[in-house]
Amino acid sequence: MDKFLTFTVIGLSTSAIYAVISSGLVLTYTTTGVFNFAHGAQGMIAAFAYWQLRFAWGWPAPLALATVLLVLAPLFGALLERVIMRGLADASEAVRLVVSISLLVGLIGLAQVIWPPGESRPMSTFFAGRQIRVWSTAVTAHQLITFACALAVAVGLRLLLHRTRIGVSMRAIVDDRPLLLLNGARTDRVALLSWAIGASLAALGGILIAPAIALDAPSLSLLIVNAYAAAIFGRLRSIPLTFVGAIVIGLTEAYLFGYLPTGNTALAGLRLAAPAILLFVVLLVLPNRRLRTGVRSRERFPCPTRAGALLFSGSVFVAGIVMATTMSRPDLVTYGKVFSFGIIALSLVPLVGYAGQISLCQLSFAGIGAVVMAHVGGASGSPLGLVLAAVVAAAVGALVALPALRLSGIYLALATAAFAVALDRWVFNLPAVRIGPLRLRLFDLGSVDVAPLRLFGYRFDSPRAQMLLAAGAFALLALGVSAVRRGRLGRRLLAMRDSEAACATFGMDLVRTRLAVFTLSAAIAGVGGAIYATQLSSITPGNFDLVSGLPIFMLVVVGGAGMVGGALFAGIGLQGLLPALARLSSLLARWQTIAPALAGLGLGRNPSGAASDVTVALAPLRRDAPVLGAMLAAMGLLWAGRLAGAFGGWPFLAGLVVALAVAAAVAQHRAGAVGAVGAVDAVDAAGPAPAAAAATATVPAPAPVPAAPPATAAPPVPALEWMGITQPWTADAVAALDRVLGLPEEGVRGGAAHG
Amino acid sequence: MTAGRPDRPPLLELRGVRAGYGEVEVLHGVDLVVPERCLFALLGPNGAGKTTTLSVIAGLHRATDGDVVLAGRRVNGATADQLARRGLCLVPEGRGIFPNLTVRENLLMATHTGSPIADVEARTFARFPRLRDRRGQLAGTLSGGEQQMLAMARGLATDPALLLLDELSMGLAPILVEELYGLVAEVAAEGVSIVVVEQFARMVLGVADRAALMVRGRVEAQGGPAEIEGALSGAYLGQ
Ligand SMILES: Nc1ncnc2c1ncn2[C@@H]1O[C@H](COP(=O)(O)OP(=O)(O)O)[C@@H](O)[C@H]1O
Ligand SMILES: [Mg+2]
Repeated sequence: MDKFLTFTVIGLSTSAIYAVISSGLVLTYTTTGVFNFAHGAQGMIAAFAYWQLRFAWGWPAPLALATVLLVLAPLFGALLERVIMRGLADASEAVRLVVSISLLVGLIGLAQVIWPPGESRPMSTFFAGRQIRVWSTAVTAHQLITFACALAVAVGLRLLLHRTRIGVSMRAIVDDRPLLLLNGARTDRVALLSWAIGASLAALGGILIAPAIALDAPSLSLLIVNAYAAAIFGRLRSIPLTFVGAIVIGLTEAYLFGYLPTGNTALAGLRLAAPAILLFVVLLVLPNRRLRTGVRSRERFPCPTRAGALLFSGSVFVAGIVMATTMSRPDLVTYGKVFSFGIIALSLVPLVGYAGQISLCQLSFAGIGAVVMAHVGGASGSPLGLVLAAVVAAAVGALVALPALRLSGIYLALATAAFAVALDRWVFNLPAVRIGPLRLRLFDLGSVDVAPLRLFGYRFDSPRAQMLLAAGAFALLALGVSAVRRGRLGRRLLAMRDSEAACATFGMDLVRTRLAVFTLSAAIAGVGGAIYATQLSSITPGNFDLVSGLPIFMLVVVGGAGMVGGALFAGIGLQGLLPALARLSSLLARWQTIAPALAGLGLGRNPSGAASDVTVALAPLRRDAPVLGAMLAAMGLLWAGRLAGAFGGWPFLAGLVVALAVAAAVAQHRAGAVGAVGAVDAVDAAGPAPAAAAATATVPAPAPVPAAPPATAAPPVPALEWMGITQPWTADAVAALDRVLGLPEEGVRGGAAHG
Repeated sequence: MTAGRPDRPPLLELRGVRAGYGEVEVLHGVDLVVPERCLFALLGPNGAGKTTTLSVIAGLHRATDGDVVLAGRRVNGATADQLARRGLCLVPEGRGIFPNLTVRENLLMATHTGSPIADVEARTFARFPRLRDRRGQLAGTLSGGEQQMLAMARGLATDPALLLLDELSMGLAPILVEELYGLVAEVAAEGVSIVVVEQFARMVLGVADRAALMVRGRVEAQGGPAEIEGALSGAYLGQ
């Protein structure tokens, strides 16, 4: 009985903290529609700031508290709203998600720059040592304060939301934002206030919970997963239900601590993972959402042509060869991971880019692939390991996808994040388990060695061979992913992204389609993980945790999730650019965790991502054979010079970049001089085209143009969905449409309707 | 009631206003003049662009071309809340209420334009005694007529300079519509300029000073109620 009471008190005090944190989350989500993944990270930063003031500088507690809770945190929240969140009003869900995840990663990076990890930063509880007795158990002063805080927050929020005009306005925004504007309310002030309050609540939660767990940036930030689970109980809307959820989760955690047998390593992790598992379960039992009818998205991705895909993959492989022949051994070890990370990133292209589904657990699938490679591949590095890595990851992917099929958007993101957390806190830390005749080994409670792959008697054991293997695998898989886009599955995925409801009406099997894309994507991630593991040669669960996986998702979206180039962008960014910057200067090295976050935060401006810009910029070069040839010749000469040892690595790289830039500029200039931009090219370069096309389309035939362009110039073709609407429907348009959709060109007038 | 003095600009003027959704243009150059102290009826079939026109005037929707002029000042870039605080009040189509707020809280939202809550409540309950008994009730649970009264209450209780009413009659019993329009005429008599938008209600022509007929994104006719009355049947028969 005593024990029960003790753990109930512990559980309730955790609940109180979760309630405080998650009510802040609910407040900002309902009033501004942005699900703030960085909410926990804000609490984390606040806890560090409090530690700095109170313990490092020795300020008195009330002063330090007031500074953090009433000044720093609200200012920071308001700043976030002003600078970042306000611009997201009409961005797609994936973009909003990337921005707030970038913020999470950036804040963790920032905290680690200011407060380097590894030092001990003791943080004592409030009124340490004081306690009162309630029946047979002791309640510490800190716990009492925690209860009081939760109560005050509950009452305060209730009063704010029901008794004050600005609070009622916050609820009115949820109902009907335009109507509130018509009422004359300054909705930007409402949003500002709710972000300020949200940040204060996160800060309060962070300060209260920090003494219980170490002052450690990632774990404090991810504490939020537990609070998210509570918020989901209230369906991200109801604050009272959120409090109920917090109580359920806090108590579950406490009783698991109290009553699970100790000394069993398998169960130790389960306690840590329990809130994540609860989150997953709560998401699943949420009432069925309606099918989405069309999403507004600003993203536009051109469909890759077969020739374009071959060119891309060929260039990647040649680049791999050039790198393999010119780099030193340590460089090969470092930059070889560009391609294996690229493969993991590639797994997001069909999922996020084509199907519009969000997954934050691709690196976990990669971890599964890595483990399979380690154990099945064995010391000999059997290729069976690689095959099974794909198969097992695919199976797990399907297993995750099945229950999560009903979810989308933010809920899907949360479910996959919960899965990733459950894996890295629990499953990956399990000892070998025996299920019947099967003995499952994971990370063997530490690290496992991975032998290099052996294929047809050849061992890929040097960093050079491994880089070539990874580059070749990336090139092949990129071809495959482009082919998917042109094929039947790709068209279905795109249709599903645009409108699930319409697809269901046409009798498309949504479940099978979603299952297919999740399975495919997990398999690709598994292969990527296996190859990554052979490059690392020794893997730990830490290589595959949620926080390490988030930048991949961010950068793929920044690079352009709908194109294989986006995946390469992510690989280069994370495993090429960052290490290179770190080597250039040690100052940059400290800041390197923040760089991807900055890229993500900049995404609001250009939702189609960098890859589509690059494609547009390089389009003239691709069609200009003489210039292309000259550029390749120049690059070949540079390469020969480098191989002969005429100059070092940096001049070589600079030379390549200059060659490319000059060639692109020359081709652009020549294309401009020739003047006629063909219809196909306008579709190819779908990025900025629609606006221009529309401009020309709505102003019919600008007659008084002095030197009229040659009459043969095809009219610009508008973006796909506007064909026939802003311009008459012509045979050319049908042909262009067929090309873009990857259909065999029929050229039949009006016959494209069945496409 | 006569139109405003000739030496002052009209209260509201649209000149060649174009607007659309995405790339589909819906308003193809709308011209409209609403004089001061005038009850103005904007009529037109479903899909003509009346609601879009009101949204453009109220600052909810941006005009791609043309001028929106309020009391002589071009207000194209102004936001909806700025215009609302300067005395423009749009009661939108459907039910212009917050369904998950109580009646009182809905009225509280009307005070963003500067009227004290006591005034708003007093004037609302004087006009609509039925709402007084339902002060604490969620607005979404009111009857259709009561919801429309609550929506109108904002326009009646906050002293706007220009009141825009979009399809007041939608989904309401004829007798209730008549009652509401009686109120509108009363308010107009107090000197508030009002634009009412309707699809079929010829009855508004009976109370209006001026009217305009809108078809397919253009104003086809503008003038006295009698002239518009004549133009109406042609428009609805899709001449
Ligand atoms: N949110 C919207 N998105 C796209 N088209 C719209 C939207 N709202 C209205 N439209 C279109 O604009 C045209 C005019 O609509 P509206 O202004 O509501 O007309 P009315 O109020 O006269 O019935 C219609 O053809 C309608 O389909
Ligand atoms: Mg309408």
